[in-house]
Amino acid sequence: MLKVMARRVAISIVLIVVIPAITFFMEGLIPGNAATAILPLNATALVRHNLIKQLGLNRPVWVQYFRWFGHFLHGDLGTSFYTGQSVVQDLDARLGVSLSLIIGATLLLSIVGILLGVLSARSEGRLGRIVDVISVSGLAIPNFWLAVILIEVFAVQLHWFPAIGYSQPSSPVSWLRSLVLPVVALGFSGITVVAKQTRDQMKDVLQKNYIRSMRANGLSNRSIVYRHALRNAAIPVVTVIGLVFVAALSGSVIVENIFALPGLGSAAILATTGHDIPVLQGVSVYFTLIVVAVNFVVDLTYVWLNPRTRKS
Amino acid sequence: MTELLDVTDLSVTYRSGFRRAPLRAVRDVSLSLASGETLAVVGESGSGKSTIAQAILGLTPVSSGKIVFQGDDITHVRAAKRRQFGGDLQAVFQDPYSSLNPVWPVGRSIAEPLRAHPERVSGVTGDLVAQSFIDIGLSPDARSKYPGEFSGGQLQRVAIARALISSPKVVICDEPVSSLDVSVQAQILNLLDDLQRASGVSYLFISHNLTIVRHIAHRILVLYSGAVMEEGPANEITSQPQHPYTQALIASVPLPNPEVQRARRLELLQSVTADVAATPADVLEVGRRSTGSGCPFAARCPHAVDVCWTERPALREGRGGVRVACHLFENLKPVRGFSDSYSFKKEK
Amino acid sequence: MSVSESLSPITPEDHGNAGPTRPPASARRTFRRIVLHPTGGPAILWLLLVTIACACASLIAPYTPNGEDFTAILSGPTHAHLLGTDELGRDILSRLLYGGRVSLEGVVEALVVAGVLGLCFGVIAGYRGKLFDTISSRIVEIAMSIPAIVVLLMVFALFNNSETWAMVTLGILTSPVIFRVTRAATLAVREDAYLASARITGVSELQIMRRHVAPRIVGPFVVNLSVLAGVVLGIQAGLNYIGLGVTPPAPSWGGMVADAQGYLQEQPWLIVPSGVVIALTILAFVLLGDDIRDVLSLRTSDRSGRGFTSVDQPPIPTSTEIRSASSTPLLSVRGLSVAFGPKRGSATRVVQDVAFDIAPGEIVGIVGESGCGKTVTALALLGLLGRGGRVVEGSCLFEGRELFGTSEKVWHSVRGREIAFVSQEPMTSLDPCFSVHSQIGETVHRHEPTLSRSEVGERVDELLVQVGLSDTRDVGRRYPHQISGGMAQRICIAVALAGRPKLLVADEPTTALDVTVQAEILNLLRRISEETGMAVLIITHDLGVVADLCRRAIVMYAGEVAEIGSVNEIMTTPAHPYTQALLAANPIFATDGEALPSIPGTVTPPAEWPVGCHFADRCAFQIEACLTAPIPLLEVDTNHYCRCPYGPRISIEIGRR
Repeated sequence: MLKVMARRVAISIVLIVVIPAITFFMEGLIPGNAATAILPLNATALVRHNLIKQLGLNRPVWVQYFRWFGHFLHGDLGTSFYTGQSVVQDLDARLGVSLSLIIGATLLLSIVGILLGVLSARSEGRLGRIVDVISVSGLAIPNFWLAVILIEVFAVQLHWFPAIGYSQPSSPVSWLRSLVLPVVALGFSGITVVAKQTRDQMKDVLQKNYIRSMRANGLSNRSIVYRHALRNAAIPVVTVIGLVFVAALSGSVIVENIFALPGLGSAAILATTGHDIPVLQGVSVYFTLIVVAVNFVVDLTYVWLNPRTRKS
Repeated sequence: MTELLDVTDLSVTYRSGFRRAPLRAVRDVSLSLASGETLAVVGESGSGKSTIAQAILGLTPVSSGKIVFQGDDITHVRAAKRRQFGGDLQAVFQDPYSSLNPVWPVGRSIAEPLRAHPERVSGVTGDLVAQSFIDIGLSPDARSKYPGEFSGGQLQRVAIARALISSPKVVICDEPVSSLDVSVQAQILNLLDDLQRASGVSYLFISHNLTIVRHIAHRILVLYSGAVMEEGPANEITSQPQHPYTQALIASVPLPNPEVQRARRLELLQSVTADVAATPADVLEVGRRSTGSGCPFAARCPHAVDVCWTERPALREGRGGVRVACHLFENLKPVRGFSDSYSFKKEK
Repeated sequence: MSVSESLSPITPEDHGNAGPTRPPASARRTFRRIVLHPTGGPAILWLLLVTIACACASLIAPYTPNGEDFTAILSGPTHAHLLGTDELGRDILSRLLYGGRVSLEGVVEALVVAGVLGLCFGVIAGYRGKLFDTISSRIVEIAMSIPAIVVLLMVFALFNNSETWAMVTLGILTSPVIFRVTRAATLAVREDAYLASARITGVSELQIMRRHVAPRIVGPFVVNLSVLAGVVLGIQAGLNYIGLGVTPPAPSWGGMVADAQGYLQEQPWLIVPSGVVIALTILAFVLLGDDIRDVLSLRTSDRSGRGFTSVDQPPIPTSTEIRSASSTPLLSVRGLSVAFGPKRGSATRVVQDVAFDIAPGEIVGIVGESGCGKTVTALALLGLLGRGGRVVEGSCLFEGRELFGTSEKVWHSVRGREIAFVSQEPMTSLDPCFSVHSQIGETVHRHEPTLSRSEVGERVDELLVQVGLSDTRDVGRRYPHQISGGMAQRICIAVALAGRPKLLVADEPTTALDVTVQAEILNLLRRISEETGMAVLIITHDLGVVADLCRRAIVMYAGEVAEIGSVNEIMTTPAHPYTQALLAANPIFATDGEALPSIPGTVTPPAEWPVGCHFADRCAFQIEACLTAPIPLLEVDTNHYCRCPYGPRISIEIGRR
């Protein structure tokens, strides 16, 4: 168990170091690019040169990185090129929004996905085919398109949920209402992946020797499926949920944009079009930290589920 | 008689992780194989018998010791050099379905050694392949069929044909009949025997089955936990085993005669202590991971005394040309192994 | 990962004497099957259509992509504009055609990068192993934790909104998926012994990779690449949607969805063409992947009995002469026939006319070689035939009560409590996620639900001691991966005993164990039977085991009972020629210097069973009368039956002094 945790810590550190480094690496490929991207096309060479000095882009890449990392360890992620405000301040306020959306979507896709998977593994034919259809359509329907359709049907036509905008958790009902459509749009494709994986794993496990022996010695079907089979099948499913979560992070950027949710993702898009590198880097750091936290949870779940990882 | 294959003090040790003790799969095993003879290496799981085969075939690295084949030291030979004598040293494995490429027609698999060693081909490859089919008792038309279309016994014949087509001097047979039915086993063993008579090839026969080995081997080497317990002429060892482990092995084999079996059962009860099936794997593993002091069998031996735990016994001369690795074997009561021959005659 | 599909019945003991299977398909046949697949075929058509249409956009598009027509703004489908127009009067169809290029080029760019990187590194990692594998696997693990979107956004910000750079980056970020798949496939091939054989023969490494490894990994590689194409298209369209990668007014599929969204009230139709095209194309990629996977049979096997074709089998012999040895047998089976096949439709019999009795406390063995149906018979007694298998005839009386044809509820009350089961591979017969104590305890609780928790604990300890594991605390704590094979089998027996059954069915309980451990387990079974009066039905292929443990034996061959009798009779005065031949082939009877007696030929598979004796074609004493009519079991002596009218008259001598 200690070994697993130590490994996870090591990987997390690598992630935190490497991901921001990617930016600097890319910047290093075409030095001064950040400045060029900001300035209008007719800016003179002198203006450009000054901006580069001002942003510290004339230093070697790794020096820039170390300076940035030093600041990061002090909780300072620089200031936005655009607004001049502290990146940390800005993003901290947005963190809650993104977390609500992403965790909500992950919960949705996990619970519904696993349920669907278990149900279709037990019954042959009809339900299995339904899962197959949902499975494939979930992957095929782009989340932005689905979002638009959902807004049109449920917000504009039926007025059940707000079309855009985010309500603070201080008023729980409107908070939840503002999250329903975004969560569905984001989580829908994930449901199919989880359902399919659950079903495949369950089918696999149900063929195993120990399941047959348990049945032969009189254990009830319910105990066999939900206590034993599900637990054994869960391990790869948890891994998949971890991966789907990372994908949901990516998807949240677009979904936030569509539903005008003031989260990290929409900040990232603004920063992209505005070439606001510090903000983008800031978002990447926040995302990395979220991924690290989730991976920890996944590992802990692993240890809990799989006795082989515990060293007694 | 020239020794074709000479293995001296072979040791294979695996390291798994930093803190765990290394796993000594093979410990100081020596054996030799002469031309035209069959040497059987016998042991249960964890005895290291398959590891020895893999070491000789270059499929696993050797930690210490020497392997000499046809006068050349091949212990750490590189792949390129190994190809040179690859035609002389071949192997037959336990599961024919995974030792033959499932998407190749069997004729192509059989011809593969010839393609790798064109210098050994005396004649047309196609004719040689056809002849090998006849030699193994199958029709040459079968050469275009795929492995999935054969039964286990037939496919093992194909594997044997592939092993022998390049006229090797030594064939290592790693449990070649263990996955086959008894009636089919007999066919394969007879085939191996016939081929040996015809070509003078030597077999290193790995098996856990003492009754088979008693029939086909000239000499036997008994392994336990990577170390040699007893070695010598097959007849001697199976009829009068001198090492406690060999005695236990022979006593454990159930024979198809209820009266005989009842009598033997009483002997078995006295031959092993420390129920293996009640000992968890990690405690058993302690023996395999030990630093080498003491006899590996001490934990299970009913006769173990102090010296057995501290000093590893060397192989010493016993009766009938057999060498035994045991401190006390001379003082043990002689135990009857398999009778010279079993038989029954059914009356009308 | 076999390419061939089996036509013979999938019985548990199949591999030993497997009947003929279809040879692996040639490349051309595989190609045909891929193209003609029900869902994959249309997918391929759609992809071809889209690719060609978009590539020839300049030739076939009715309008230029940016041509504005203010007379027809936001129109639905009309004659002039087949898919309508947008807010500037631009033709949707034309914009789709031109815009498709962006998407498809992007997908190709990403796929090439992902494919090349994943394939090369994956194969090397899987093949070379060790350090390279460890390092690259770590790198991949880290790469899979990177949220792709931030890196992509960074690329857009730094490289002037370049779609190409973004797609290349996406390719790098998704290559881990391909890496994992090719690595796993390579590892699987590396394990196969035929690589070792090739290496021993002296085939060079390069040749081995080209001839043996490459064909096996092409399948998974292509399948996953196809599915990845769908995912990449979705991401790419999403990026276009938020305005990245393509500068307006240049058309792109994702951008067109964004345009349409703005005018949803005025013209709801607009949202349809772009969205549908994206969805259909992604769908096509995914279905293509599924199609190839189906054709190459890369899915785990479906054991619903799908592989069985209907065959004409000869009529079943009916044995009427069997009488019970005792007046109150514990278990009495008559005329049992089991068949495998799809739920509706004809099925193939794999076992027929099986009859035997088990007296209370008696140890009986069913002995036979692979394909004889012994395991199927045992499973039938527990109602555990699995998908596709069913009892088509016969009766099974347990303490006078008929079991065949009853409801699942009745079976549920019998299993564990009256009849218990121990299976062949002890290491896989225990749930790896639960401790030993927990698993035995659960079964105890199931059969004696009124016991308190501490009472259950005591009973678990009692059972562990009964099977010879006296250090109950230590053993109970352990998990299945912490015990040895022999120990595992003892624990499985303890689980089986939890319900205090009257009959224990043991399916090859010692086959997977060392011979010294086998002796201990056989001793254990004998002791428990004596102590508790429990009967044991042991399935085995080893006549020695039968001689050691059993009082009576049932010899089976090719789905039928060949002979039943006491062990003494069977081993000293065998009546059936097969029994005699089976005994003779045992190497213990071998004579020095002489060949082992063997049985020529192979077992006839159920699809080819003849009318008469199933053993006739291999029998040394076959005469014409053996093949003309079904042969029932006939009594040759008290409680000794044989399915051969001539066998008893044959006297044999096995071995020689």
